[in-house]
Amino acid sequence: MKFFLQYIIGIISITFIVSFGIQYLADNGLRNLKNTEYNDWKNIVDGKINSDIIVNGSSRSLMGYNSQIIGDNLKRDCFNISFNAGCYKLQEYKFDIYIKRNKKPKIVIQNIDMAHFGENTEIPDIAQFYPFVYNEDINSLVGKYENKFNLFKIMPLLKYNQSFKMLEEGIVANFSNATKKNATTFKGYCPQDRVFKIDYHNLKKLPQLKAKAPNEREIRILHKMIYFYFSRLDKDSKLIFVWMPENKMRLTKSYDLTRQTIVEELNSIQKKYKNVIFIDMAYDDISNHDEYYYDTFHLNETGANLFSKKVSLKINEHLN
Amino acid sequence: MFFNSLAFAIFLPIVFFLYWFVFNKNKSTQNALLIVASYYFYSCWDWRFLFLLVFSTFLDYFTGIQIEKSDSDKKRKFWFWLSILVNLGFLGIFKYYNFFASSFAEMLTSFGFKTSPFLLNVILPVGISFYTFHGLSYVIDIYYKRIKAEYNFVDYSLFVSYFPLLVAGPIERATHLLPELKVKREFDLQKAKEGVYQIVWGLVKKVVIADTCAVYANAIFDHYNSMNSFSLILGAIYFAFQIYGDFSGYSDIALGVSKLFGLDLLRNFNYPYFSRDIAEFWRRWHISLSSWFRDYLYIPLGGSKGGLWMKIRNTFIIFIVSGFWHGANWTYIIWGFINAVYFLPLLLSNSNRNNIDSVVLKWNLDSIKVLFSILTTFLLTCIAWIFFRARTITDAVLYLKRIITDRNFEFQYLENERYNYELLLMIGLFVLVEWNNRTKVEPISGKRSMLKMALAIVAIIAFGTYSDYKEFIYFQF
Repeated sequence: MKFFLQYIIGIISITFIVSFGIQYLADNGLRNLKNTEYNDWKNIVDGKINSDIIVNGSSRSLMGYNSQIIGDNLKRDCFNISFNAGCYKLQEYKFDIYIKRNKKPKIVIQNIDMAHFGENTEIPDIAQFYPFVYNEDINSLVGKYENKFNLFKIMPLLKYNQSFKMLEEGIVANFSNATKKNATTFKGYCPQDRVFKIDYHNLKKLPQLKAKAPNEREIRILHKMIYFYFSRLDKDSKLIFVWMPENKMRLTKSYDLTRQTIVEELNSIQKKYKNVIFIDMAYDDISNHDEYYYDTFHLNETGANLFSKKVSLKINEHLN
Repeated sequence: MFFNSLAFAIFLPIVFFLYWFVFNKNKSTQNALLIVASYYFYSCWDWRFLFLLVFSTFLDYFTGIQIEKSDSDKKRKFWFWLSILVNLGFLGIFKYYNFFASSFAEMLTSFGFKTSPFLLNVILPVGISFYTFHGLSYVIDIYYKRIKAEYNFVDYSLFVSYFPLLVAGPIERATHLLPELKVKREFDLQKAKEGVYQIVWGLVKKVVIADTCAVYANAIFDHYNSMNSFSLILGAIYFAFQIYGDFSGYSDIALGVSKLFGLDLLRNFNYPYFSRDIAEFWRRWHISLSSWFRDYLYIPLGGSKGGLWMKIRNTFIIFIVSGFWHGANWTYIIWGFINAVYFLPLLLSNSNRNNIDSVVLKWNLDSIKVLFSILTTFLLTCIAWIFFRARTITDAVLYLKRIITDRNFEFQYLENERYNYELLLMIGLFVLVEWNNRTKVEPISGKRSMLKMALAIVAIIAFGTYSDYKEFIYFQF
């Protein structure tokens, strides 16, 4: 019996060694895979970004703000830390992780829209965190939404369960330069080379209002967010709220009624604080062109490039 | 409690520890512990059916003794038929009553009589087909004086309800398992190691192969109307590996767990997809059921003694009954019938026992023929599996028709947001591993077993399906 128990312990030990070995290779490969969200996270937690301009927001922002174009036009380094499917809380968590290791940005471009005020009940796109289960900062973020992350710490390879392609990609990345082939992000910006397809399911969800929405909760969140940034940025830093253009199919009377109080509040905040700027581009001409969108809410790569040029020109006007 | 669940991963080491360290004084304490563990294991599904299991156990225990004690043939027959009828009665009520009632009503409707059959609102007690067959074989063997009746109720109860084989077999024989239960088991390191190999390989088959194949097979079978020929062919192959991985995986785990307790169960699978003809396939697939039907149905019906016609008739009977045993649905009966049809040429040419030895391939023409016959046999079984998997016979026929008429062999994106061909590499690798180890019980034992074991566990962790949790298919039988 003694030998049997030793044998079982031996098997478990070997399994752990092999599993941790494979996991290490996959984690390491993914973290170092240039132009991917994994590498972006690695650079954030390693404090290697240190950009003057930071773009923050949800998926619209992630896919709509080309950091390179914005940076070039504003003649400063720009990085996009937006969070796919992430509402305001997740954006704030990510910003906190960012400034913990990187220098404080001079300008924060905060994208804003109605989706921004939602609540995440679970962490979206959790796979982006898999190579970072042992990172304290990321763990504290993911741990708020996902208990299994703790299990991933002690059970090697479990996080890659059923994610064969990801595992393979990570392992292979250690032995090859697969940068171009796997590129998905550029300075945090995630371009979408896709053609327009109407997302009827999302359009159906739009509220049908006949009177202005009070948006009390949203306004409270907005003020909290301003306080959040003020408490983290230097006094001379600029906080720029931008309302990106949505496709014309969304721009109904009800759309206006839905957002009106928030826009009014942002305008009054702008008047109150000299370092807060609000740029409302909801009705920009981009809205009228389906070719700039991949659905009614998100810009495609062409639209993002055009929007980034336009928004950086507007920011420039405000800064000068 | 499933073998591939966390609950079982906790349950097994506890029973193992108690068995070898606390209740290891003699065979009675060992058996008593296993009985308690088995009843607990069974009650995890539905404790109410425990009464049925205990009743079935007591019935066969009592009738077995009465058959042996009876001094006249009349009494012997009475106790024998009492046991058979009550056992089959329970099986009939729980498993087949609704099928017969609704089929009869449908038949009357087709003759113009409108009926609303009285259907029972009961769930099928898990494992009833298996433990009923345990009991039946025991009583039949006593009746034919092949074995003596068991007077120790604990030993007999354990034979019927031993947890590794309780819910999905293998279907044990009293002649094989009871003698093992009559002696104290001593710990055997080699046997325990073999048990661990089998458990791990069984888990690979279940959670890596079967459950992953299930995701694809379901996506294809459930939407076969919109699938192209290539997807439909792959769907049949995926299901073939799903059911093989699922059932043989369960059997491997059952055998492995049993070895940890020092008990050897009957081997249930012997690499069936490497069979060169259907007869060989059925000597390698669900061996305990095939041999049960052979010994308790085919031979009593006359077997092959009455000439060719008798042989054909009996073959058809056992395959159709075997199909019916799997479930109360016409698809299973047709599946059994198709297998009997496959058997026919072998019976007519008297070549059903041609391929007894293991397959050996060399670089010559004969090997190409052997390979061809293996692939042909696999193809035939896949066609039969379509009937087994389909919801109705019409679905199965339309599925087959679409394979032939669609003639589109492009890659297809499935409902589960995966491409139809994605699993082929994994299945290919699995076949290669099994092929290279086909002379062994499982592929892990032998040289570098520790490393192979570690890799198998890594595969279970990394590639196993857990999110879309799946029961073992044979639990429903």
